[in-house]
Amino acid sequence: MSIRFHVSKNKYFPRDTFSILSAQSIGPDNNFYFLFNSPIVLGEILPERIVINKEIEKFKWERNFLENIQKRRENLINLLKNNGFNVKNFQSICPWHLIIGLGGVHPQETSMTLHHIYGIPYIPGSAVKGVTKHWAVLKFAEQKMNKDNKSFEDAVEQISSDLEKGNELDLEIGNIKFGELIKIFGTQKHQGKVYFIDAYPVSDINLKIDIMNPHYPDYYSGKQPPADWQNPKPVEFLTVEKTTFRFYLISQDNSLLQKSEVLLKEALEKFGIGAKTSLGYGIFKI
Amino acid sequence: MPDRESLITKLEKGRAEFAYRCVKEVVDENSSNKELLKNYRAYSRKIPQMILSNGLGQTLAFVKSKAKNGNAYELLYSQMMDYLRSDSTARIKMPDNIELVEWVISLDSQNYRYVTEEILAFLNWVKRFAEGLIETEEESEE
Repeated sequence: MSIRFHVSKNKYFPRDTFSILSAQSIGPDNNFYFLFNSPIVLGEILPERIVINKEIEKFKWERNFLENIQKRRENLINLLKNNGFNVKNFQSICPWHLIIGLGGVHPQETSMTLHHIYGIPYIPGSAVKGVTKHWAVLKFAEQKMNKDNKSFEDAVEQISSDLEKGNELDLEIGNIKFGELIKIFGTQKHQGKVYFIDAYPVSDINLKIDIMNPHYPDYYSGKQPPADWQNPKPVEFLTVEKTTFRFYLISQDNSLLQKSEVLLKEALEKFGIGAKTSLGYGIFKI
Repeated sequence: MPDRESLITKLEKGRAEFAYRCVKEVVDENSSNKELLKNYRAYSRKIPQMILSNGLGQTLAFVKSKAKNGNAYELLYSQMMDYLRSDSTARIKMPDNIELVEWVISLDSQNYRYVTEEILAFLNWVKRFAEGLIETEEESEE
C-alpha cells in the first residue's frame, strides 16, 4: 500500500527538492528513514511546533526487501562459521511495544533507532550486549547482597566496578562464574570473547503510535508545583509492535557462548530492552 | 585588500575567531545563569546531529520554534544568522531583511548544501569553545 507524505505540512527543504516532493506520493519504495525524519511542522509563516507524522504508522515494508536483508545477514553469519566462529541464534517476538533510541536527536523530540542503510527499526548489538551485561550485574549483585549482607545499591555498584576492572570474585550463579562474565564482556585491557550482533526484524515490521502523558507539565518545566489543575500534554512517539527479531551471538569459545545465550534470553524475558522497560516495554517472549 | 588578505590567513577564514567571540559573549553576559549556559553547551552539540539526520531546513525550523525569551535556542539561532552575514561566508551573503529559516528554504539544493556545510563548520567551533569555556556540574566540583 502507498501512503501520501504530507509535504504541505513540511516545507523545510531546499526549493527544488520541495518541488519534487510536492509532486508525488511516497510509498514503500521510499526509505522509511527519510519519512521518519520529516515530521510535520506547524505554523503558517514561521515554525511554531513540530509533531510526529502519524501517517508513518501505516508504513509497510515490502516482504521481498526484508527477505533480501535477511539473506545477506545469513550469508555473513555463514562466512563467520566457515572461519572458526561458533554461532548461537534464536528468534523472539516482542508481543507488545518496543522502543529503541527514544531519546535520540529529532525535531519532534522523540526518536527511534533506524538502520542507516536499510531504514528499518533494529536493535543495535551494543544495546543487546548492554542489557545482557546489566542483567548479569543485577543477578550477581543480588547474590553479593545476600552473601556480604550489603544493600542492593552498594552491591550493584561494587559488582559493576569489579566487572569493569576485571577483578575476580568468588561468585557463581547457575553454572556461570563471575570470572566468566569478565571474559564474556571484556575490560579496557581485554576484548570480550563474545560478539553481540545487531538484531534485525525477521517478520513483518508493525509500527504503532504510542503516547506518554505527563500530568504535571509545568512542574517538569520547573515553573510550578505538581498540581492537579495543570493540563496534561500527551507526547506521541513511534514504537514497534508485535514484531519478531533474530538475535545472534558469535564466539570462538563455545562454553562462554552458551552462557551468554542463557543470560541474554533471561534479560529479554525478565528485564526487557530499549526505553521504558520498567513500564513493560521491550519485554520479549522466550 | 589588506582586510581580505588578513581574512584569508585567519584560522578557517575567520570562522574560529567569530565562533570564539560568540561563545565568549554568551559566557560573559550570562555568567550567573547556569541553566542557560548548560543548555547552550548541550544544544551546540545536539544541533549539528540534527542537521545531519534531518537536514538544515527542518533543524532551523525546530530551533526557531523553540527560541523564546532569550533562551539558548534563540542565542544560537541569532548567532548562526550573524555568521551567515559575516565576511567569513562571502560566497553567499545572507540578506538583511529576511528570516534565516525562510531564506534557507528559498535556496536551491547546491546553495543549500553550501550553507549547511558552513553552519556545521561554524557549530563545530562553537561546540569546542563552549566545552572549554562552560563548566559542567561535574567539572566545577573538582
